[in-house]
Amino acid sequence: MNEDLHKKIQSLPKAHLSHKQRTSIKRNIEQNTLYDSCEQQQSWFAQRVIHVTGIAAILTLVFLSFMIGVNVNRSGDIIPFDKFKMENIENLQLVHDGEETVIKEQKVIIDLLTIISDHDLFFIELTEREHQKLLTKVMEDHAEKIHIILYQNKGQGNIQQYAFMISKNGEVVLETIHNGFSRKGYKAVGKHKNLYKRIVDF
Amino acid sequence: MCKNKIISEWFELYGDDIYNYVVYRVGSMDVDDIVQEVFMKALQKYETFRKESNPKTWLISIARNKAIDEMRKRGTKWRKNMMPFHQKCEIPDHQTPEKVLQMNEEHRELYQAIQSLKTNYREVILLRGIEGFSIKDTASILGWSESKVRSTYYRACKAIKNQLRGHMDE
Repeated sequence: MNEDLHKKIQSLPKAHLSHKQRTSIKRNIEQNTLYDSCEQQQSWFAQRVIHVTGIAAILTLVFLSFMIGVNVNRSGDIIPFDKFKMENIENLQLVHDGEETVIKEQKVIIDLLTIISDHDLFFIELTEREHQKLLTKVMEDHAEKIHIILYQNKGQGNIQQYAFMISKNGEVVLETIHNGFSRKGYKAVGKHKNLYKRIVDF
Repeated sequence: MCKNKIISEWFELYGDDIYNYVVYRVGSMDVDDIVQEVFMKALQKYETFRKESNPKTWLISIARNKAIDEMRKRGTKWRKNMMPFHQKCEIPDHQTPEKVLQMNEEHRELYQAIQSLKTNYREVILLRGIEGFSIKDTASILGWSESKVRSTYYRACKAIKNQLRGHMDE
């Protein structure tokens, strides 16, 4: 019985394209080759544009990085960390006494290094990752000249979370200046107690 | 031979089969557009065609995907898109199932019975029965095993017979 039904299904009328439809579709298929090659050309062109733009962007970045590096040394305002010398601090202190000078660190690990010179108080504001190295060196080399090192714990973000290390006549004392330096603030800097210990032991 | 020439030849050979498949699959609306899209797609993806298989099978697979997209686009079920036989409409000079089936009561009932089947059954009836593909080719188009094609076709025929019997009882 299925065989009969199969035959009936097979005998269902077949739809077919009219001559007009056939001609039209065939023409479109053949013309599509042109569009196709045009599209390919466009995509080739687009790819080239992207490549050139990408290369230009990279070259610009390299150039800018190079120029920044050059400017740093030339202007003296921005100094790469590896070329950071204590003389720079002293020079800046002399030149910019009473003013604010920003030294921007080029290395990724230190995104900002600010030196503020204010009369006899010498503030150094550091980001936290390289602070130990730099602070220790500062303390070793210039303890007698440094009155206050302001260490900012960048991750915490408010004044209560600043630690102040005071050096008087070569004697290093860990003190808080700000009245609002709270227990929370102590906690925030507590993780750096090894640093303080090293400074205090100095 | 360049690919557009090949596709053009395929259109000559299989254009009507694709057209017939699409008419049965999605109804009589915009069928020629869909057929054209099928061959355009074939032209675009010609490099992916594995030469050892039958071009008609490949083209029907593309047509099937296009039909599914079309149905999704229309947002309605297949059955709802099918133009009813009794509906008077302007039919062009080519044969559509609607026009032909109007002449034959038996075909009309059979056609309606097929339309009322569930999707799997309709797919297999359309490919194996109406388009006349072999079990192997039907399996390849639907991505089924050959035994699944056999058993589904058998069950689909049974369901059609039940439908037709129901009509006769009425």
